[in-house]
Amino acid sequence: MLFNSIEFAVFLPVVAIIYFILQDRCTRNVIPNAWLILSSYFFYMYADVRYGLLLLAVTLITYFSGYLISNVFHEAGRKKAVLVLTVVLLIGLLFFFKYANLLSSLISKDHALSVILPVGISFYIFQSLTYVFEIYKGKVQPASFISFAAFASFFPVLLSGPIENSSHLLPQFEEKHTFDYERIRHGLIRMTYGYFLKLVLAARLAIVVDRIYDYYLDATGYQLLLATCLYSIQIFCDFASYSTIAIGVAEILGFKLTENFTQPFFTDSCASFWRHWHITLNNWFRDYVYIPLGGNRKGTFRKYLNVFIIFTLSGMWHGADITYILWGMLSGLFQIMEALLSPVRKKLPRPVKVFTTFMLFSLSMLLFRSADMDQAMTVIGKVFTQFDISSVLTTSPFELGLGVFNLVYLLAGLLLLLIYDIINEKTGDAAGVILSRKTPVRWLVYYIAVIMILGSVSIGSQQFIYFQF
Amino acid sequence: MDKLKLFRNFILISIPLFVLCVLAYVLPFAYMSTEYVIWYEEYANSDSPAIDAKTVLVGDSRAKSSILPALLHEDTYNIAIGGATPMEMYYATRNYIEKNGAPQNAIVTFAPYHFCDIDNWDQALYYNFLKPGEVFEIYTKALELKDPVITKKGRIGEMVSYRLRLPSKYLSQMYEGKFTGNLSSNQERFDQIRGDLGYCEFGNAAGDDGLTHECYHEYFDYIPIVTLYYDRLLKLLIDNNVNVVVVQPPINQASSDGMHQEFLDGFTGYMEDIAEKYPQITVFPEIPVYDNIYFGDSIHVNRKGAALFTGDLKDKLEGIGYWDKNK
Repeated sequence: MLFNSIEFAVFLPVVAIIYFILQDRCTRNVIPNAWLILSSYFFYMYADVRYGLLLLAVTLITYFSGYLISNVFHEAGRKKAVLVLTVVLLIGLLFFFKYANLLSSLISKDHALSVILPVGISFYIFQSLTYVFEIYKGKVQPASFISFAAFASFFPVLLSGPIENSSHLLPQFEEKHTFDYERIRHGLIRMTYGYFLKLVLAARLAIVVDRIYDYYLDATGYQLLLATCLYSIQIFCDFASYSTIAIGVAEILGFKLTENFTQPFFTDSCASFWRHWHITLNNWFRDYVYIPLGGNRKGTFRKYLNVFIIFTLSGMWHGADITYILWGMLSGLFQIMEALLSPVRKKLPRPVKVFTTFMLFSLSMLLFRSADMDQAMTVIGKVFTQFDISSVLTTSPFELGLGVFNLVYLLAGLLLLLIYDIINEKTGDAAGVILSRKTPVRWLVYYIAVIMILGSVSIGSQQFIYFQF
Repeated sequence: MDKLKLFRNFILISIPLFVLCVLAYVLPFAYMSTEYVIWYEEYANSDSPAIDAKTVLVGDSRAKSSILPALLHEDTYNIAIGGATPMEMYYATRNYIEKNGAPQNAIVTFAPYHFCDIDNWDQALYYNFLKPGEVFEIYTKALELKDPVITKKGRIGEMVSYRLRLPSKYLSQMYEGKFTGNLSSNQERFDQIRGDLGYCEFGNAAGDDGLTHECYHEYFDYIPIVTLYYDRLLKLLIDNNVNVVVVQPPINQASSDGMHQEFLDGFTGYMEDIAEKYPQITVFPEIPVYDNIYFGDSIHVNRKGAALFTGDLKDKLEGIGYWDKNK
C-alpha cells in the first residue's frame, strides 16, 4: 500500500483509532501489538498476498535464532554459529531475490529466471537482523514473540525504512501509547512535510530528469549535468519523503523512529554527507560490518579498506546491477580521497566544500540514475567533452518538460524546502517550530502546504524510487 | 476535548480539498475534453430527448460515427457512446428506456474488438455517468468472472477516488481545461451532436489506411464479462418488445487485408450463435469493407463514409422489411 494512496488515507485512521482504543482498554500490550501485526500484514499483503509469507518466514527465522542465542545455547561458539547461520540464511535469501535473475541470465540466457523482488525485503531483513546481532551482543533482552513480530513487520518502516535498530524500536512496543493531541499534531506536520517533498518536489523534478535522461543522446553535457544534479535533489526529496512520512505515521501511533536524513546537502565533506543521508542504512553497515572489520582501530589502510568495503556492500544492497556496485565503490573512494587530501581541504572555505560535496555526490548519482553502463559512460563522456557552455543560455525550461506554472511551483517548493531545512538545521525540529507559532501564522503554513500538495497530486509518477530496493 | 479539536482542525485543513472536489463535481462540462460531451449528450438526451425517437442506434464509437440518423430513417436518434463496451451501453440503454419508454426499433452496432478489449473502463469511471450501484454490479460480476482489467489491484480505491472527484484524478484535466476553459468548445460539440441527432464524427481525415484494433488479435479472444453484458443488452431490448437488428460497422480495406482469418471466423461464429439464440432479432454478421478514403482515422469512417454506410444499411433494412415490423 502506498502512503500516497486513498487506501492509506482510510487505513491509517482506522489502525490508529483501534490501536488507541486497545491501548486504553488493555493492561498489557499483547492485544494492541497483535493489532499492529495484523494491520502491518494487511498493509504489506495488499500489494501481493505471497509477500506476507516471506515476511513471516523472516520473522520466524530471526526470532527463533534470537531465542537460541539467548535461551538455549550458552557457549560462545554455538551462539556465534547460530548468528552466522542466520546471517547467511537471511542475506542468502536477500541475495537470491536480488541476484537470481542476473546470475541465471549470465549462465544461460534461454533459461533465465524471472524472480520478482518482494518490495521492502532489503529493509525488513536488515531490520530483523539487528535483533539477532543485538541479542548476540547482549544489548537487547529477548522479546516476546508478539512484540518482536510487531517490530519486524511495523508497517511505517516496512517498505522503505528507516531501518530501525531493535535496541531502539523494539522496547517501544512494550510502552503505553495513548492518544496525545500534541504528538499527533507533530506527527501530522511531519507527514505533511513528507508529502510535500514527494508530490510538490520529487514528482516535478522527475519530469525534468526523465526528459533529459530519456533523450540523453541528444542532450548536451550541460543539460546532462543539470539533470544529474537535479536527480540528486529528486532522490533526496523522494526518499526523504518516505522516511519523513514513516516517522510521522509512527509518531501518530506513539513510536519514535530514527531520523534518516538530516540536511545532507548542508554538509561539507563526503564522510559527513553519509552521516546525514540514509542514516539508518549507514548505521547498520557501521555497526555490523565496519566495526566488526576493525573500523578505524587497525591503522589507516584498514580504515580506508573498511570504508571501501561497506560502501561496495551498500551498492550491492541497492541492486543487482554493476552501476549500483560502482556507485557504492565510487562513494567509498571519494571518502578515501577526501581523507588523503584533508590538509588541502581544510584551507578551503566552507561554501566551496559544501559545493564540492554536492557535486561529488551528484557525480556518483549519475551511475545510480543510468539504466546501464553504456548510458552512464555516454553521459559522463558528454559532461566532460560536450559540455556546450552556450546551451546554458539556450536551454529553455520548457524544453525540460515543465510549463511556466510547474516551473514556478517547483522553484517556490525548493525555496520552502530550503527554509524548512535551515530551520531544521538550526533547531533540529522545524515541525515543532511551526507548531510553536501563533495561530494565524501556523494556519497560513498549513494552508500553503495543503494547497501546494493538492496542486501536485496529479503530477508524474506516484511510486517511490526506493521501493525497487 | 482534544479529540474533538483534532477532528475540527482536520475538517478546517481539508477545506481546499473539499473545494477542489466540489469544483470537479460541478464543472465537468466546462473543463473536460470533448470526448466527455458524447457521454454527457447521451445522458442529457435520456433526461430530455431531442426528438421522440422511434428508432435508436446503440453501440460504441463506431456506431456513433458510422450511422447518420437523419439519412437512415425518420425519428431516429443515435444514442451510442464513444468508448463504450456493451457493459456501459447496457446501463445507458436501460436508463434511456426507464426515462423515455422503449423505442420501436434498435440497431445494435459494436466494433468486434470491443468484445476482446476493455480499454476504456477508466474513462467510464472517470466520467461518472454510471451510477455507483451499476459500477458495483459490474465489479462484482467481474470478480465472479475473474476479469483482470475491471478487478485490477487498487481498483476499489480508484473507483472511490473517481466517485469523490478527488484532485488526484481530476486536477490535471482541470488545469488543462483551465477550470472553465472548455465550456464553449464543449457546448459547440454538444450542439453539433444534437443537430446531427446523436451522430458524432471521430476522425475527419479524407482517408486512412491504418490498421484497426481487430488486426492485432490472432483469434476472437472475447472477454466473458463483455459478452455477458452484450447478452443482457439484447435481452433488455427484446424484453421491452424492441425490434432489434445487429449490424457490424465497416472497416477499411487495409484492415480487412490485415485481419486474421481466425479472428474473423471466430467473430462471425459468435454472431451466428447470437442469431440462433435470439431468433426474434436479425443479425448481419458480415463486416462491411470500404475503401480507405472513407475513413477519418484507422478505425472510424469519416462523414462521407458514414453517409455511404448509412445508405447501405438503409437498403439492407428495407430489404428485410425492418421498418414495418413494429408499426
